Amino acid sequence: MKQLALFLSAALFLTMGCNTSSKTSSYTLSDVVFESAGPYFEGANTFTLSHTIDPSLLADSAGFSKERIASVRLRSAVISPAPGQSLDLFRSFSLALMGNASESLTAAVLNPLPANTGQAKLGVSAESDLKAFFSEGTFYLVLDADLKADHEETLTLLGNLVFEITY
Amino acid sequence: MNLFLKSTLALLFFALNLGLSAQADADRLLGVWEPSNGKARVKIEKIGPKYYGKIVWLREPLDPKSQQPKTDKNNPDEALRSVPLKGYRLLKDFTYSGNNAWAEGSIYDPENGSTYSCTITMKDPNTLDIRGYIGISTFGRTDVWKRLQIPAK
Repeated sequence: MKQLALFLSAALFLTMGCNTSSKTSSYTLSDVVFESAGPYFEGANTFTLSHTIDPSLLADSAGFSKERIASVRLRSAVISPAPGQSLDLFRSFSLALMGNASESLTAAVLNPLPANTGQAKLGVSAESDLKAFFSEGTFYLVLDADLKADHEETLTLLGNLVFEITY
Repeated sequence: MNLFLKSTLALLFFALNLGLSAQADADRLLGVWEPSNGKARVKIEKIGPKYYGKIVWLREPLDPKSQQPKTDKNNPDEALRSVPLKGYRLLKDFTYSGNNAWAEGSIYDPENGSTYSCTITMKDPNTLDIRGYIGISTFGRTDVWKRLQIPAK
């Protein structure tokens, strides 16, 4: 009898495990503008972008409630220059997320930047879970751009970012 | 203008002044600072409502082995070990807690890849006590940072 009870418990546990299989959806930011006012100095200059999402709406579109969001990871981050500008001015990029309530996290980096490239494809961190920022709703995307030399004119960088949300 | 309206306006003006004064108090942290060992200079800036400090100068910017600019080679996350140390944000997420103190932040030690809880206290306009600790503030270490005086042009 005891063995039967154990067997039934194990079967129930396994069935529940199968029912809680995860599902993913993606969230894309296309050509978002990272801004920073010049003049710029040689070294790391900060370009920022404030972004707001509605986590309920986002989860709802995937058929879940926002409480079911298990993790959010950056899957790809591509930085390109505004028309008429060049990436040759830069040595490296690193991208972090910051929030009013959440601790900031670095999510992607490219160092060094290849010469004569039109786009910078950053290496993303698989460990950085960005769920807290998505739960907060409003957060800052902060791009540290390492300039090779001082620069006077205003620079604009465009970002194409893909996030993967796991439920 | 009746007395009620005058009082309300006076109160609003007082509250606005108080808010601006608190903001100015908090922003005294902004600037470029040098730790006691003189190995680096850190620029503290504000992003959103919080304060962050990034390395803007290194006494020894090149890795002695590779002769390339130093990177965050001790980061526990392997994918982030190529982040340049110059420009690295080692002070993160500080908020002003009043009485010349900024709290709820962290400090990163690139020499061992460890992050510590941290509080900042302004002793005078040009001196900061930076206290890094694990768990409770009693068990930690304080370093004195000096404001870098940038000569007026």
